[in-house]
Amino acid sequence: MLWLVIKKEIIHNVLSFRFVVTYALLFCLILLAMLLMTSDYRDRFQEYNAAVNKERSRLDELKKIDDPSELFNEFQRTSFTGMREPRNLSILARGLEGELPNQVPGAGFMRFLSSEDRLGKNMLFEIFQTPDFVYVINIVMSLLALLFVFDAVCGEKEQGTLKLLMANSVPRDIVLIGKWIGGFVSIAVPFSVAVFGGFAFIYITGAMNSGEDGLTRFLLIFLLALVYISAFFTLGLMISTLAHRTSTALLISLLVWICWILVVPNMAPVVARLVAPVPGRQVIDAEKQAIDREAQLLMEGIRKRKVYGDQKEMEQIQRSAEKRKNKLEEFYQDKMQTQVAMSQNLARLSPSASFLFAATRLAGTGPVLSQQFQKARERFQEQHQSLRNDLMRTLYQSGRAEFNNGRMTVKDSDWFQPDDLPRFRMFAEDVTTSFNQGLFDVLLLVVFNVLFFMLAFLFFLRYDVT
Amino acid sequence: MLLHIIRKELLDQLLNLRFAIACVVCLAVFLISSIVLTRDYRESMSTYNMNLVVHRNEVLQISEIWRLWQGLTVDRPLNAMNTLVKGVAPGLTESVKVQGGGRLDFAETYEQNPVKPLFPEVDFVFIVGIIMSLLALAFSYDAVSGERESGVFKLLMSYSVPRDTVLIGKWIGGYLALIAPFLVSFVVGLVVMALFPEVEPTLDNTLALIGLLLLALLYLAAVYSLGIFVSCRTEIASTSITVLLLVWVAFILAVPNMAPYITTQLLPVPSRESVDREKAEMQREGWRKMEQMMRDEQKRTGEENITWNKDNWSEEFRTEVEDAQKKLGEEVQKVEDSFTTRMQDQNRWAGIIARLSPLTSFNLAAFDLAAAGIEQERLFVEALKNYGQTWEEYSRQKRETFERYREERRKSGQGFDPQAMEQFNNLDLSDYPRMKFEYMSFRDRLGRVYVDILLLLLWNIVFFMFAYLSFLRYDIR
Repeated sequence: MLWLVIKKEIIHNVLSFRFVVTYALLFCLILLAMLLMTSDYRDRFQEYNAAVNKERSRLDELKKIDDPSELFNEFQRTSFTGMREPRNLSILARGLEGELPNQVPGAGFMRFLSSEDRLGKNMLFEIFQTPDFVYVINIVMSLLALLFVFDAVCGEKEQGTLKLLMANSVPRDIVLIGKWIGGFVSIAVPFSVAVFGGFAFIYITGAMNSGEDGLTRFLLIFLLALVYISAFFTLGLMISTLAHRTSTALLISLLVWICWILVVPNMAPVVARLVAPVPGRQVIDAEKQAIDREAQLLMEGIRKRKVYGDQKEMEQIQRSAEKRKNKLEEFYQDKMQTQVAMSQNLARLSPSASFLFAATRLAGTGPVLSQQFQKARERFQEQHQSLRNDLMRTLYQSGRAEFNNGRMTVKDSDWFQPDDLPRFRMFAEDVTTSFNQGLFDVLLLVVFNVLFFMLAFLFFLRYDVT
Repeated sequence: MLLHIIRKELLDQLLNLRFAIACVVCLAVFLISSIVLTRDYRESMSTYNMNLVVHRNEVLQISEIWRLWQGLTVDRPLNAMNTLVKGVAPGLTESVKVQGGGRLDFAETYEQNPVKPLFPEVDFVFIVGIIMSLLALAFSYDAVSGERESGVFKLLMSYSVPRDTVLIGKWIGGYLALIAPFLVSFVVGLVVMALFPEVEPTLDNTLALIGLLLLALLYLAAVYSLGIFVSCRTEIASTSITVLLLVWVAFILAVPNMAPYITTQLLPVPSRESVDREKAEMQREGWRKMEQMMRDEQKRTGEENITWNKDNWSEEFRTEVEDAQKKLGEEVQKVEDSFTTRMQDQNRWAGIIARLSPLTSFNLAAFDLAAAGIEQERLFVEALKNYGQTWEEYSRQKRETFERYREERRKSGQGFDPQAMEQFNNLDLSDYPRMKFEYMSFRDRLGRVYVDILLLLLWNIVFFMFAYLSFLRYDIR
C-alpha cells in the first residue's frame, strides 16, 4: 500500500504544471549559478596568480642588486605584500570570499586603495547578493519545496480524493509517509540531476582542484542541501495537515517562509548589534592613539626633566601603555566575540542560517574564514616584523655587517633568499574538522525535520478528512 | 458602483489572514530596522565628530615643512538618509587621506563581525524590494481567479457593472489594503527616527523621504498589477500563485543578482590590478628607454656629468626626452582610458540587463534619492580630488619661501642643507582650507532617477493593460 501511495504521489507531482515550470527554473538557476561562479573563481584565481608572480618578480629584482649594503637598504625600504588564495569551494558557497582583502601588507593594519580602485569596478556587485549554489538552495529551493507540498493534504481534502483514499483500509501513518516519500522523491531526484549536471561542468572545466577532499566536501554540501530541502518540505506537509483550505495553507507557508528566510536570519545580526553593542573599530584605534600620545608626552617630560633621561622609567611607561592597549584590544575582541556568537545563535532560529553556516563551513568560506584570515595576517606581519628587527642584529653578530661612521656596511648577500621570506599562508581545516564543526547546524536541521514530521503526524491523525 | 467594489475588496482583504500577516511582518521589520539603523547613525555621528577633531588637530600640529607633502585626512560627512537606505558606501563614516597631485588613499576595511556580511542589510530598500513585493503578490494572486473559484465572480458579473470598473475597483481596493500596513509601519519607523535628536531633517532629505515613499508605492503598484495580471490569466488560484512565485524568483531574486556576473562573462574587463601592473610595466620600460637615451647622450657628448638636472641638457636632448615622456604619458593614459571605457560599457550593460527586473529600477532609484548611490560615490571622489588640488595650492603657498631658497641653492650649485630647513619650520596652518562636501540636492537626485521612475511607470502600465485585456476575455464560469 505504501508503494501505491508513493507512486500516486510521484505521478501526481510529475504531471502537474508546477513540476514543469519549477524544474525548468531550477535547472536554469543551478546550472547558471555554477557556471557563473566557476568563471568568477577562475578570474579571481588568475588574479591571485598574477599578483603572486608580480611579488616574486619584485623579489627577484632585489636579488639582482650586487652591492650587499644597497641590497640591505633596499630590503629595509621595501614593503612586502601577502596574497590571499581564493578558496576553491567558493564556487559553491562564496560566503566571505568577497568581503576580505585579497592582499595583506607586511606592516600596518590595512592597505590603501586609490580613487581608481574605488570607482573602477562594477558597483552592481555591491548592491545585489551573490547568486551562488548555496544562495539558490537557501532561498529558491526552500520556496519551491513549500510550493510543492502546501496542498498535499488539504488540497486532496478540497478535491475530495482524501476521503476516497481513507475509505480504503490504509493506516494514516502509511498515507503520510507515502506522501512524504513520494513528494520528496519528486523534488529530490530532478534537483540531484541538476546538481550533478552542474558538478560535471565544474569537474570537466577543471575548476575544482582540491582532489578527493573537494569531492567529499561537495558531496557533504549536497547531502546537507537535501536535509535542508527536506526540512522545508516536511514543514510544508505539516502546514498542509494543519490547514483545511489550500489558500490558508499557502498563506501560512508564505508567512513562515518570509519570516524564516527573509526576516529571522537577516535580522539576527541587527538584533545582536542592539543587544550586544560593540564600540566602533575607529573608536578603539583612536583610544589606542591617545594612549600612545599620552605615553609620548610622559616620556618627553622625563627627557626634559633629566639630562640623560631615565631609561627604566621610560620603559615602564612604554610597558604600561602597551598593557593598556592590549587590554583595550582584548575588551574589543571580547565584545565582538559576544556579538558574533549572539548573531549566530539568533540566526539559528531559522533553518536557513543553520544551512548557510554548515555549508560555508564545509566550503571553508564562512565566519571561520575571517578568523583564519586574521590569524594569518597577524602571523605574516609578525614574521616580517621580526625578520626586519632581527636581520641587522644577526648580520652584525655573525660578522657579516659592520658599522663605519654610523653607516652599516653589509659584506655579503647570502642572507637574502626570496624563497625563505615569510609568506601569507591561511590554514584550511581538513574535511573531518569542518564536518565536526558544522555538525551542530546539521543536527539542528535534522531536529527541525523530525519535529516537523512529528507535528505533521500528530495533526494528520486528528485531521478531519470529510 | 466603483466605490462599492472598492469597499467590498477592501473589506475582503482586511478580514483576511494575509492582512494580519502583513501588519505583523511590516510593523516588526520596520520597527527593528529603524531602531538599529538610527542607533548606528547616532554612533557614527560620535565617531565622525571624534575623527573630525583628531584629524583637525593632526593638521594644526604640523610644524615641520616636510610634513606638508604628506597631505591630510578628511572625513566624509554623515548622510541622514543612511538611516533608511544603507547604499553603496562602505560605511557611514569614512576617513580618506588626501595628498597633493590628486592622490587619494581609501583605507581598505572589512567587517569585523563575520556573520553580518552573510546576510543582507535589512533597510528600507530590502523591506520594500523583497518582503513587500512578496506580500503584494500574496494580496493579488487570487483577486480574479480566486473569486472565480469561489463563484462570487459569477454573481458579481450578473449585475450591470462594466468589467473595467470591476478591475479598477479590485485594483484600488486590494492596493489600499496592501499599502495600509506599509504606510503605518513606515510612519512608525519615522517616529522612531524622530526620537533620536542626532537625525536632523533638512529640506532636501525631507523631499527625498517623500520621494522614497512615492517610489516604493510605485514599485509595489507594479508588482501588485503583475499579480492581478497573472490572476486574470489563470483559472485556479493555486496555479496563479505558482506562476507568480516563479516569476518573483526569476525577476526579483535571480535576474538582478546574476546580471553583473553575466555581463562579466559577456563583456570581460581586465581587473584593476592587472591594468595597474600593465601601466607600471610600461612606465618601467619607458624609464629604461630614457636611461638608455641618457647614456647615449653621455656617449655622444663625452660628458659623464650629464644627470637628470635639465639645466645641463642640450636643447635637442631636452626635446627628445620631453617627447619620450609625453609619449609614455599618452600610452599609459591610453591603457587607463581603454579600461575606463570597457568598465563603463560593462556597467551600462549590467544595468540594462538588471533592469529587466523592476527591483533594479527601484533599488537604484532609491539609492540615488537617498544620495547613497553610485553617482554620489563618484561625486564624493570628485570632491576629494578637487579638495586635493586646493590643499596642494595652499601647501604650495606655505612652501613658497622654502622652494625659492632651494631653487637658489640649486642654481648656485650648492647641495641641499637639511640643517637649513629648520628656519622654514614652525608653520602656522590655522587657516588651512576645510573640505566642504554637500550631498546632492533633491533636484539633482531627481535628475538621476527619472529613467528608473519612468521604467517603473511603464511596468505599471504594461501589467495593468495586460491585466485589463486578459480580464475582458476572462471566462467567469
